[in-house]
Amino acid sequence: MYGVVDFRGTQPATTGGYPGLLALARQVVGERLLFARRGYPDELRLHLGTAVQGPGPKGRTVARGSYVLGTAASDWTFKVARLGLTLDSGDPSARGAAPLDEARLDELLGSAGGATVAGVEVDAHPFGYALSLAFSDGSVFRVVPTPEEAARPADGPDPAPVPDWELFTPYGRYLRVGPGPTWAYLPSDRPE
Amino acid sequence: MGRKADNQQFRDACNRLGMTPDERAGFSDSVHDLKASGERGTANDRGDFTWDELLAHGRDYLDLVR
Repeated sequence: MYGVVDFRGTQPATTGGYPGLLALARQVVGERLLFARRGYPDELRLHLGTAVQGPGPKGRTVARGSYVLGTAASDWTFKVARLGLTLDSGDPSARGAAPLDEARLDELLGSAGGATVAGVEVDAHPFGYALSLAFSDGSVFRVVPTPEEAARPADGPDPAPVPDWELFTPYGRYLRVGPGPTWAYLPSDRPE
Repeated sequence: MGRKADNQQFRDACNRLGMTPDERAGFSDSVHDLKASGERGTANDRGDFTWDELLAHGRDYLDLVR
């Protein structure tokens, strides 16, 4: 028997199908980490694969990866082997870490690229699915879902639930995981 | 607001403007670049953007990419 995972396929939101979720997450194995950078609002994104230039503010261009892993509002840790340190998004005093200001964080994230993804794991977590990326140089990136915050009135007609993490691909698809133990693989080039 | 609430507001604004997920991701990078370059919002002392400021920047961004 043979099988295929089609990166151009789609999967509506589901709470099952863990093998499919893992297979789709593993499409970044072999892709190079270009750089890590924070997006708005304070969301860490890993840019992998091939660099793509896109429009930015004030006539500038902004570089992005052909793959982009977004951490939404989840917690993350990033052991950067080449820099000999671990960065994380949580309370430093609770994690045995020293405080780090945003400017220094951005500087360190910007120099974290170069290694390739050697392995991907998705594992069950009390708040959903956690994701781990192991890199060829010994670096490890992990994103862990956080509990839902108290509900707030939506500013729009249909509040979009904040996922735990997202993986944008070069195939016009993105993997949306969470909140909770749900996931979907959807078109990224049309409004939801 | 907490981190999730900030993220929720940003996604709500993107949905209000009819952005695709790709456009939302690009807009997130663009807004962060804007904030880092010194153009800060008025929502708080971190320079985050208000709902109206996000919508305005979003419209500018969509004019660039569409």
